[in-house]
Amino acid sequence: MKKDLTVLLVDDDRITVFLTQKLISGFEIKELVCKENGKAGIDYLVARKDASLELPDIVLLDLNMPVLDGWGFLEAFSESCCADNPKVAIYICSSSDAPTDILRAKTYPFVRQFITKPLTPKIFSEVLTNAVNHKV
Amino acid sequence: MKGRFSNKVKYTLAGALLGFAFLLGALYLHAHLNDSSFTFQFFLQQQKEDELIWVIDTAPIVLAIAIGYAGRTRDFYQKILDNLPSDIAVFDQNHRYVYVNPSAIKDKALRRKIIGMNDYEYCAYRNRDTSYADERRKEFLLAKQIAGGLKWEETIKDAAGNRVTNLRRFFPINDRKGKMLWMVGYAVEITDRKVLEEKQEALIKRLEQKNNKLNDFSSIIAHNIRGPMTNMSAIINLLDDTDDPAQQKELQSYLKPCIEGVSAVLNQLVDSLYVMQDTDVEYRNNLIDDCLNIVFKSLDLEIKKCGASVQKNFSTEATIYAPEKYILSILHNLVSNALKYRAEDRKPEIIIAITEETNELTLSVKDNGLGIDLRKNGDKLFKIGKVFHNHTDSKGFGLFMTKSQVESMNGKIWVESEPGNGATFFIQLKNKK
Repeated sequence: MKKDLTVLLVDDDRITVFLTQKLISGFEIKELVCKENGKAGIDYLVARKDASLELPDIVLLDLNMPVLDGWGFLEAFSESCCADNPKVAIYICSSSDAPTDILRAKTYPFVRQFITKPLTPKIFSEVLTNAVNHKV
Repeated sequence: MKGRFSNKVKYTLAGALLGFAFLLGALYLHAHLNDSSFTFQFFLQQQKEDELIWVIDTAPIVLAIAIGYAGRTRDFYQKILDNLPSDIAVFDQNHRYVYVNPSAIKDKALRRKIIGMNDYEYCAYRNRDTSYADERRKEFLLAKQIAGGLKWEETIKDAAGNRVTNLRRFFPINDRKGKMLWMVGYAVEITDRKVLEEKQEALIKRLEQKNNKLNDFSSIIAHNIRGPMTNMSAIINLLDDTDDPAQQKELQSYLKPCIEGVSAVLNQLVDSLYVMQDTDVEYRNNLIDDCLNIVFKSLDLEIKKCGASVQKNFSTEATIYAPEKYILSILHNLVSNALKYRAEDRKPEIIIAITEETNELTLSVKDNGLGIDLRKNGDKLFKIGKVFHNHTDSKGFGLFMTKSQVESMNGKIWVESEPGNGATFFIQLKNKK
């Protein structure tokens, strides 16, 4: 079941991307797509939606990014029709654990969880299990 | 009252004088009562004669008491008005002075002179600026129109050049039909309170600034320091798990940028803390032209590389009162940003201008570059580690530092921009000479 899942990682930090790739390589999933900032992430989602392609099941979203940050991504996500796709589960993956950030993230219904970095295999495994249950 | 006699004495004397005149009249009547030629006798009856004489005799005394009493009552109100430590003025329907108390105008001759004048005539007479007369006229007309009291704060410079603030009120006194008879102007000096208020406001502003800085700092720690630290510990964990030298080498290569990232952020943080605490940096008048030339020299290579043109719209004598190192750093940041965020399809044009007002100087750096979407990014523009373009050498330190420096000088910084249409950065500083 997990093999069917696709994950989108939106993060500008190449080391985080490297580490996340390394972590996810230990799990069997269908595909991991990486985008370097919020705008690239949204563009990717909109392009797939317009081409009637499946959207990723899981989005791992960093907050602090150039061009369009995580908050900008969340705004754009709720504005563009992506909100009609309840199966897309967004996980914020930030080095911040500031209460203001966590409370703000909670105002978006499609944000499943606020993960304070580092992302560990244990947490990612839970994320996958959650996504599978959700899909069924 | 500085007259030879107090009002009380004057009115009693006036009453007594009038009474005396009556007495003389009464004596005259007495003398002629039995004179058959005197017409008065015509309507007198003999038996009433004694009564009449009694009335005529007592009238002057009653009159003297009545006038004296009225004088004393008037004197009572006059004294209060004259000794109130607040400015009182009464105006007619046309905003002309009917009465002014000594608190409003100390000089007795001037106090007499002003009666019948309006504020404009009085200002002209005293060779004063008429700007406050405009405001008073406006308030007068408004109070007359709404037929009710109003108040406003008026700050003017006194003869010695000190700022004096008064809380002024107008309240109309109307007749029973609602027609205005007089307008009473009342003022109480609140300069001390005003100064205190301004001090408090400045203090609150500083506190807000400090608090914002604190929030900035905690956000920097949450994102820009904790991020690379987390990565470093993850890399070290991975290093522990592997014996493959090639993989170890790859992992090690990732450590260096993490460490560099953290130390760069830390250095900026510490520098901006120093700026906040820099209480003994030396303020002086810097020739802006000289400062700019130093900046241009250090950016010479960049300027030539992209063929930028630079225009200076200010007098070569223009100076700015600030610590030299701040001014150099601010100009360097603004000019290098203008070069860095140039539009690909046109040569950079940078215009540096200065506008001076009485005690403020505004410096602007205008470019024709990429511009910034302020609607989206306006609140983040001056924060650390915020980058708005995909640019390899953007770290998001420059404007954070510039803002720290400007604010430590009690100045303001803001930007006007549209995406694609360049940006203009403004810096406003108090300009003591």
